[in-house]
Amino acid sequence: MKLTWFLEHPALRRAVMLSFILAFGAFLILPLVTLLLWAFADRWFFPNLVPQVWGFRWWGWILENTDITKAARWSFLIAPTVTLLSAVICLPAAYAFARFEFPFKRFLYVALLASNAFPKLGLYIAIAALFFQFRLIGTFWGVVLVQLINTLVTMTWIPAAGFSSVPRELEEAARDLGASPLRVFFTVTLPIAMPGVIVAMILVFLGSLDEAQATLLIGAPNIITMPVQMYTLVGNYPEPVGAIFSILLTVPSLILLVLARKFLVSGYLAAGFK
Amino acid sequence: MKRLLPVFALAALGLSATILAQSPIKLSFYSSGDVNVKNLWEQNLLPMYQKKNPNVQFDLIFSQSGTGNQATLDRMAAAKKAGQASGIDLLEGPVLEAGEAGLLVAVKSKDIARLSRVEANVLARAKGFGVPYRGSSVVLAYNSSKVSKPPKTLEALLEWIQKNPGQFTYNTPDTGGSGNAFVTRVLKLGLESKDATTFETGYEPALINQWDKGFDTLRKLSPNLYNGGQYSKNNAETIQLLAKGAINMGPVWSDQGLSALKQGILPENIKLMQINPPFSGGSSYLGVAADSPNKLEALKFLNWVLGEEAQAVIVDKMNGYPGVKITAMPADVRKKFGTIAKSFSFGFSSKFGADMNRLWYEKIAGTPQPQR
Amino acid sequence: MSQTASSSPSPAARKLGRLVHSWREPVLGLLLVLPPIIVLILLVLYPALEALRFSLGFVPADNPAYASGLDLVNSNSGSLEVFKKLFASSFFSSNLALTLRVSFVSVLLLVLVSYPLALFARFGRGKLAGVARVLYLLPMFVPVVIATYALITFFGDNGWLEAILGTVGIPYHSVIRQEAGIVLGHVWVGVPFAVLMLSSGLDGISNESLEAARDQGANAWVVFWRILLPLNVVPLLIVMTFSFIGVFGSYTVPYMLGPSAPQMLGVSMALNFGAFRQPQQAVAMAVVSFVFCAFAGALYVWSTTRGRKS
Repeated sequence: MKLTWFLEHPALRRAVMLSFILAFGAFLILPLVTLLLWAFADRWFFPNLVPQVWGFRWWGWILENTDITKAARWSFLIAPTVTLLSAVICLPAAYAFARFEFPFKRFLYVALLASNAFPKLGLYIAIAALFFQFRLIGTFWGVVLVQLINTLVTMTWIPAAGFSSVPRELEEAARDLGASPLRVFFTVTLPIAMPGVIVAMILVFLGSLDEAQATLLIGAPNIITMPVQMYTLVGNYPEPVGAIFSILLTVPSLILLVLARKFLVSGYLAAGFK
Repeated sequence: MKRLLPVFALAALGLSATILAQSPIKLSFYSSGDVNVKNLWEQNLLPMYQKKNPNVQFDLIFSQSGTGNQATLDRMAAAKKAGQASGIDLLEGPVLEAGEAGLLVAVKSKDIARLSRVEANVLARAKGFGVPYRGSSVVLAYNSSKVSKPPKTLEALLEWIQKNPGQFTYNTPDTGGSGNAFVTRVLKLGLESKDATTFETGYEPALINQWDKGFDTLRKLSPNLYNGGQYSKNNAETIQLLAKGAINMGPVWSDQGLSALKQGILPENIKLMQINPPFSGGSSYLGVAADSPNKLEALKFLNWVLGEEAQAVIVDKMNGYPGVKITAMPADVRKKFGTIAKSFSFGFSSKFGADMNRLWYEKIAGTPQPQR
Repeated sequence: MSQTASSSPSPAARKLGRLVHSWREPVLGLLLVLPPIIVLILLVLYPALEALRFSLGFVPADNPAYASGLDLVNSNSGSLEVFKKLFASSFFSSNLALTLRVSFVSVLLLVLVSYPLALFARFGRGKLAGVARVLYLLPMFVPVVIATYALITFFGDNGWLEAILGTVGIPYHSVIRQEAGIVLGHVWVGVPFAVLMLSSGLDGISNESLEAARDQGANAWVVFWRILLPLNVVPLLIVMTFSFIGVFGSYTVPYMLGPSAPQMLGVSMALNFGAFRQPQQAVAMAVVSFVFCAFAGALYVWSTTRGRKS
């Protein structure tokens, strides 16, 4: 109780809050700033605070490196495929969970969590062993399938919450006006539930772009995506290489952050988990 | 969602199109190692070969630091079991294991004329399942401005580490050959000479207790390593630590060390030398898959790699030892490697190697260090 | 909050229900949820069961990834030999201890950092709150590999932090490649999810109820302790369980930021599967981790089910 006396003084409370936010901001941002500095450093020796020589020496090297363009191609081929396949598989289920009554509903809903509860690496190892038999190791579809696992919960739960937030009265009104069930779904239900679907798709897309463990285990050495490439860049090349690659790899995500900010802060994400 | 489906179909189409667009002969080539090996193929040898043989294309699948080796073998084995083609034509790396599993063809001089340029015992090491196209060994790199009298023997090296805490380290043995060679060398301290060959070519789990002496030595060493017991994360990091001056001595690959010196990544005061008995090294082998539909073309490539042109590139660009007999190389090559060339011992067999990795983590890295 | 899978049909739903034939709804519902369930069975349950069988000594001969392992325990009737071996290893015990320690500490720190941020995001006014609301989302959009690399360049040996502190003469010893480094990484990476969950729970608490409490003279501490925390307990449990499972099974963060040894179980599993050629031990570790994560998962299921009833 006495420890929190400052909370009663608005000025002090603000000061405490401000320093907390600043410290937290520094913790989050400064590592990224370090990367940014490295990306434009031709030479930077400790303990200088900023690079001794600035420049773009490594940018050309990165952009000409065929490995990196190849990795980018795989990443941007796999991420949309995983997102769309996951949407095709999960969205109808999300709708059913939100709208229909059927046996074992709650059980099946929670059962999807099993894909999260099994420790990821152990699961990937088990899947790798299985994929050897089905000759899916090192293939595009092998990677897509293994990445699909991580999307089940996101792509079902979040849109399900979105679908169930659609007032049934609206749907019924449309039905009463003679619209077919499919038409009602596409003109009434889906538009209202869309933010949840979009959030789920963004998260799945980002998750796929970010995925390294499973892709490394299932895809390597044939399918190397950008984050997997990053593993080899780190430690094998000078810092600027990793830093520049990091920036290239983060840009698409940051564009999505700006586009999706509205949806993400509005609680659609959290809705699915309850 | 409906609107997006065509995109999906297009993506799938694009994928199959790349598979269909095949040239006359495409050799799928699985190789592994550090970046310098990759560059050797990608920037030098393969383009050279393609210029002369425009009908041949390579699909180089490279796995970093051999992490994919076991997976590649398992894959070939799974394909064989299923009676299907593995899709692999050329294999660089674990040819002995692959060959013994019946996954590679044996190389013979009737297919590869230049096999005679190779030393017979080096060829025998892989039981004839691949050609040794280059060699390298692990050597000791040291900072000559800080270390005036570098240790010349293993004993002297171990003593030096103890007397100069914080100035030596090696990488974890699973992440690269240089640290692996150091661990191997120390473990060999306790081996009985009659079992030495078994350790290098066979597998007999009951013999593992002969490593105890070596592990004891390594354990005593660890508090005196860099940062009170920190290991570098791969071959390249040991070189970086040397370059930064964070350590003054460490095991490095001869080819990587020489290249780093040439490129100025390592300053000139870093010298390379071999100790006695020498660290392990060896030849890298190139084999042809038994189920390859392009065996003839692949064998032709193997023959070319043993030729003067290709061997000169290996020596010049990569600073590797030639795969062929050193006497078959010009005098300046013989001079270049001076004392370090070809004096190396052999590492453990791959199964013993796997056990060594495991036990190293359990007994060395996994043993709590006194906090600084 | 519990609309998602509500089992008490509203009058409107009954009306809609009459539109569909009574037997059609359950059948259609089951058909629609079938695809993800099939994926779950084929890609999670089946491999997991195979792994469990393998860890009990049933070695599938037609599976080279398992059968090419060293030191395989082979049994036709199942045996616990693999687990005995695992628990007899002191290396495994120290790895497990580290994993548990890191998981608990990371979750605790995550909650301690995220709760004030969530409160600020929900109740804060002005520019600063706006900044905070975007700031905490940032890590979500930075791939984990990049995040760990950024943390190394900043917090690592000869990193920027050491350089900055050096200018004012503060000595700094790197936390990278230490246990603390793993925790640091997980807090950095885990903040967005934690804050999003917690602040969405706080969104459900009306300003009126808080003002009413204030009017009756309750101070900020009492408001937090008596109103905010109890009303927000389910999101808190969700954050804790999901973060715990995520940290426990993590690979990238401990691989990049942790010491060579002891290791988190995720790293150890990968090594056992690859470099050590001990797939059976790797799979047994996966089974052990699963047991721990299942406990956490059960806590989540229990808390949400309880939340739905109340």
